[in-house]
Amino acid sequence: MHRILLATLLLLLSSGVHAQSHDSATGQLNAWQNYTLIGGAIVLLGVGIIIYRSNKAKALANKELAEQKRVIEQALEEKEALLKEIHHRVKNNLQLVSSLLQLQSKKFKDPEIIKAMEEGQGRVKSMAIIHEMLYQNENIINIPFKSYLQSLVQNINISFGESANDIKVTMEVPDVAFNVDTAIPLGLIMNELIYNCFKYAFDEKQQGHVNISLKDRGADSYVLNIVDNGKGLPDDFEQRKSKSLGLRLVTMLSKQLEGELAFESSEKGTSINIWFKHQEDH
Amino acid sequence: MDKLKVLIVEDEFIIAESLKDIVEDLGYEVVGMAIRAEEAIELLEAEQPDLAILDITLKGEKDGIWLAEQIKANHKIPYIFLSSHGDQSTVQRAVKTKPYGYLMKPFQKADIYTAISLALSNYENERNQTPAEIAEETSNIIIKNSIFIKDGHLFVKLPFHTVLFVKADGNYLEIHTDSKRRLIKSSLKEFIKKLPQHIFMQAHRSYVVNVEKVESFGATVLNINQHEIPISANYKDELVAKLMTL
Repeated sequence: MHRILLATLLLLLSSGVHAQSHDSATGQLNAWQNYTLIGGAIVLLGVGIIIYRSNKAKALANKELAEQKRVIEQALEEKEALLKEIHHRVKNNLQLVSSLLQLQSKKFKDPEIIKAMEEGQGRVKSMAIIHEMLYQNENIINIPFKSYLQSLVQNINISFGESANDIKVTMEVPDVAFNVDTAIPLGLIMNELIYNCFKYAFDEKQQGHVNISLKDRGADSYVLNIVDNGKGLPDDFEQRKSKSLGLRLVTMLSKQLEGELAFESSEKGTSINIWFKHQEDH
Repeated sequence: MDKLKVLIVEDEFIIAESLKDIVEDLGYEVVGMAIRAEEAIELLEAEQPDLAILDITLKGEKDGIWLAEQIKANHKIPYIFLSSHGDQSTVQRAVKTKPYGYLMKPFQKADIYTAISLALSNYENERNQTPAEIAEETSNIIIKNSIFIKDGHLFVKLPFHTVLFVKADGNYLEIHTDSKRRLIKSSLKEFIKKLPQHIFMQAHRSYVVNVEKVESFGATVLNINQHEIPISANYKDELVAKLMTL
């Protein structure tokens, strides 16, 4: 751009000088022509300077923009690295909590206490899986519920060892993702209910089947159903509900999710419904 | 009774200690605990563990993945990674070392039990390398100079030098040691392939003997620790030639 202007300017000036030396008879016309040429040249020069300056300003602005972009990108990278570091720390600390429970249980011989410590570790794990998913997924805010459930069930399966071999778990869960405020209480609820199913619902040697389904009821509300073909709830279930930590957790966490909880039981099995709301982000 | 020896490499003491409790609770022996990779290398030499559990993040310059590469190259024992890293780049680096197991923190007793069993099976399958021979569940595993056989939920260690002879009985094998007789489900033909041939030789269609344990031998029988074992014509020449050199 600058070069074209400069070339035009030079051409105009040189043609003006040339015209002057050419013919004196047509001097006036020539002089007039010369003024025009020189005037034109000055105008062009002015325009050139303006364009040059604005280009220079633009280049400067571009440079600044690029620099800003670099700073933002770097900040973003740092943010992601920090988030990963935090999830790593959270999981390590959850491991510490789990390890402390493990170490403490060594002191006891009573199998019931040892079992309680193991259950405590299971709860810690159900929370850890959420951090694991947050950490692995690109979408760092929401937890895909179906894959969460799959990990949770797998974990409970492992903790029951070979006695869980005859229990089949199926799922009818759509692709939904919940935020942490919803996923943590929901995960703990699911942990307790599935754990209870594995522990109490079936007689030995029975082919157990557990089905978990989730339905979207619109307006951010959902209903979750866990049904098994086991022996049903015991007669003193209402009493147990207020005593067992697992069931107390289920009751209080349903409330936290602004939800409701219903147990139905017969000799053909148990069905549990939880209506709940996806919690707003804090 | 010999136990499977486990090395724990973890720089967080509480976690290492709880891991030790779990491993011992399962019936195995913890022969060393290290918080640095270099320290672990020394323990690998001194204690000769049969399996290692490695945290990926360690104190010092070298990490658990470096350590795994060293184990693979120099010690040839199964190892399990233990990590709270779930991100792709770490996992990929770890996977490159072809680990025998990968445990995510937080772990519980059941996770460790499953991981050890799986690691031993994976190790045995890698050693055999012919996929056709991979059994669904491995009942016997050879690590260095020992056989590990499953006894209920526990892998029991039988160092080669404690094995007197092996006798085939239908679908089972009787492994006779100094103190005990143990049963495993396997065919003698498959089992003998895994054993070092300079120590274990066939004496009869149904017998494999540890040649170093033979106390006396004649034309048709040999004696090991008050057991009389038949020698059949097929195996006689090779076996006697070997026994003569001892």
